[in-house]
Amino acid sequence: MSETPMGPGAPMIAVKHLRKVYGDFEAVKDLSFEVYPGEVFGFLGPNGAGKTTTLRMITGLLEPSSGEVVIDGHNLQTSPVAAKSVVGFIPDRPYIYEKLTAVEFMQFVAGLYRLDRATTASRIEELLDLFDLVRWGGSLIENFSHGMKQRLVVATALLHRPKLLVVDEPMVGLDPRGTRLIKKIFRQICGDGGMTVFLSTHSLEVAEEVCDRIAIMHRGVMIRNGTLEELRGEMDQPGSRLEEIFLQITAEEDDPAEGSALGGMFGAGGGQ
Amino acid sequence: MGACSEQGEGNSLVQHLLWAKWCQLRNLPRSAGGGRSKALLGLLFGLSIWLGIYFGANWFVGKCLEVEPIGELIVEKMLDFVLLILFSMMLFSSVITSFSTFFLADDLQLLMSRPIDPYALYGARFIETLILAGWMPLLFSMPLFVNIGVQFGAGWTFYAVLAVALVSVTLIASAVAVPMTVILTNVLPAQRTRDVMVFLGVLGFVIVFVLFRAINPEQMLQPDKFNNTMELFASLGSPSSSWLPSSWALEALRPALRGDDRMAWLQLGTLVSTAGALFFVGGWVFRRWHGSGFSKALEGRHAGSGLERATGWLSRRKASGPELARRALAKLRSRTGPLNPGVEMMVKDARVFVRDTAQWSQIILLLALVVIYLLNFRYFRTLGEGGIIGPFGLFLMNVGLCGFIVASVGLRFLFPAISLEGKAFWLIITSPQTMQQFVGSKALAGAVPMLVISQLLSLSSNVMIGTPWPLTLVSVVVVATLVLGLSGLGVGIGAMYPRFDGDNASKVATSFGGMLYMMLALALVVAVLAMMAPPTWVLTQLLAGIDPWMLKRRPWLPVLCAAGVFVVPLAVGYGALKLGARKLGRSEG
Repeated sequence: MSETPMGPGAPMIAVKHLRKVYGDFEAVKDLSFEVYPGEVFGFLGPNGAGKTTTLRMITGLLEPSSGEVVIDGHNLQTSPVAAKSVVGFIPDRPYIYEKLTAVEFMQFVAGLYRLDRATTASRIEELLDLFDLVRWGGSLIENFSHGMKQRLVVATALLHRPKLLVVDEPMVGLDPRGTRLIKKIFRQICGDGGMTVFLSTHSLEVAEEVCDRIAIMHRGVMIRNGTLEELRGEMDQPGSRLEEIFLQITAEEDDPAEGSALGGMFGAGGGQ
Repeated sequence: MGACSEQGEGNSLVQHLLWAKWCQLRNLPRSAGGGRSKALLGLLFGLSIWLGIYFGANWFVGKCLEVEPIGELIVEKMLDFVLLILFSMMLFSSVITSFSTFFLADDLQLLMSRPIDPYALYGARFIETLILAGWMPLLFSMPLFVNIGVQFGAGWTFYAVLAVALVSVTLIASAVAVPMTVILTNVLPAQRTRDVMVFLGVLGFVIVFVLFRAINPEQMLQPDKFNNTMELFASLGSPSSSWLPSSWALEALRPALRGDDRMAWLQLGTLVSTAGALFFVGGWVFRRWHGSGFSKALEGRHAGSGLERATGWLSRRKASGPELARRALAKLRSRTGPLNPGVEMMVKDARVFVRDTAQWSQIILLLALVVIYLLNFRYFRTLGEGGIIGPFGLFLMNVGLCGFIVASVGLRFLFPAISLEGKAFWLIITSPQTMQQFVGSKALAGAVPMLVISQLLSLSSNVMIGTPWPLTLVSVVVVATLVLGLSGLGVGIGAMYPRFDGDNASKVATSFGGMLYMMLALALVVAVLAMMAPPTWVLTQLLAGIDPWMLKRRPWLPVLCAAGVFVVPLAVGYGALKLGARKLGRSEG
């Protein structure tokens, strides 16, 4: 496919008729949407909705069965290197090289993005400071707690000043202070830095707080896409919380029998 | 309904715990990474090794029996030695396995948090250790024992006693190893102790091998080399310790081997009762100390033992964090220009390799291979000088053996290179690098140390056999080409069959892809040898001042073969890398 021409209104992510099929199961069904520069885009959905599959296709981890992903004007299938060079990825369970120190790990990742040495050194220093990891810069990662690893991965994803940050469950394992820091950073990098954040999360509170636009996936289909106000308007629930809207939208397609089955399981005598 | 769904309520807890393992084994063909074809290939590979050992033993035992009048004595001595080695291997293997089965296995946290009777857990894990540690030494020593029985014309009692003796020896090895591990884990951290034990075990093996070579065991086949009969009998009759289970096994087997009708009940009884007693002692030790040991294993790296401090020092674990970070950043600033992904990959791999204690034993193993090769070369030289294979054959054999060593080292170091990225592979896929660049940089990084090792081997062995310099040059160039080809092949097949879930390289190396690599690598070595034979023969003739007939009758043959020696390995390596990169790019991350 040809490159998409960039302009002031050109999307940072353009997903076009994306499908992913595992055997005879269609995890993502004809998905199309766009995310614009400077936005924090929330990508929500219940378990098994196809969020992680979509996210993996956007980061180039998974090949789509059909359709295409264009990032910053570069088609991910035909120009993967150019597309990936503008993306920073933060996975939900960050597996990293445990036998490296934090600085060595960041230096390694900087090498993958061919960063300049001096820039690398100053960025590492800056980010370690921002994420409160300076004291641990020379310690082996295997000694880090899950929260520290998560902060390190976020810091490393920002090393090359990506135009797009793709984030999968950013708050897993973070303490309240870490969570607040990440939320603040997301808002800051999108507001002042002009970066785009594509955020997949189960935390509706986080989504409500930081996202400009929210999309809801259900059974491989994007069933809603808009600002929180637009979603409230569509559901005719002015002033309601995102949690209520989300539950109402997803319940419409759920099996009503599920509730009674759960009741039977945990109700009096249900455990017999 | 398969057997996995037929777990009855009447079964004991030990059976129940083992049943879960059995189900996992049964379900292997259904899992994505399994497959019947792989199992069949593994079976064929194992069978060919088994038959190879059987026929090798047939030749060797036959040669021993030809030595009059002490042939049978030599075989009995060898049997003693083999039983001792077998017992040592099982003991070592049981110690390493029991660290995993009793302390480090993933399912232990699940089991330890359940109301399971400690003796049931001990019983189940003991049986698991016994099987995991014992199956391979037993299976591959069996052809030797069977062949000895066949050549001695032993009756069924020999095989019956053999079965009881070997099972008892395996049981004793595990029953000694398990309590030893339980006690050790109360004192030292489990993970690191296991790694260091592997390191010490391999080191011990190398020392024993070097000592064994130093006494020239092949002399026994030439009794005339001994100064007098007394010296000969002294070397044959030196008794091994009567406290060792391997000696009891030999004493139990001896009458049956000689066709004596009397059974060695005392030795058999000692073996069986010792195994039983040690099993119960192990159970008591388990009940008393396993809980605290397991808790310490969970604490793992935070334990402050001497061993921890020693290995930590080696891997810079205890270095001051801020200071190291400051130094690293200063080093970065002092240089200019962009970082190179390939170089950073090599630096990262080197750091991880040095800091991973599980890798240390592999370096010793590598050195062992080199030492064994050079030690054995003296023997090969006599073959060449004796006219059995001639200097030309010796030269080809040298190149072939060099190739074989490079192929084996490649299985351990090149093939797992991609898989060792492990669960951090997402970093590579999401970075702006093509798979070709990534795979290529891995192959190049692997080829450099391989070139150094192979050239050291090739040059030193050629000097040892006094090869003329033109032929030495040929050897250097051919081995270098072969190394480049094998590097590409190893990394390429490693990329086609990655095992990102494998927690260590030796596990990755024993996978289906590893077997495939080894077979193709050996085929490549043989093909290069076959192709280099005609041009090298022509060169040898020219050096000897003889006009080679081949240049007159088929002048195209040596030229074509010489071209093939260069083109084929490089094409194979390049092709494998290309295919590997394509397959890796398509794999579902």
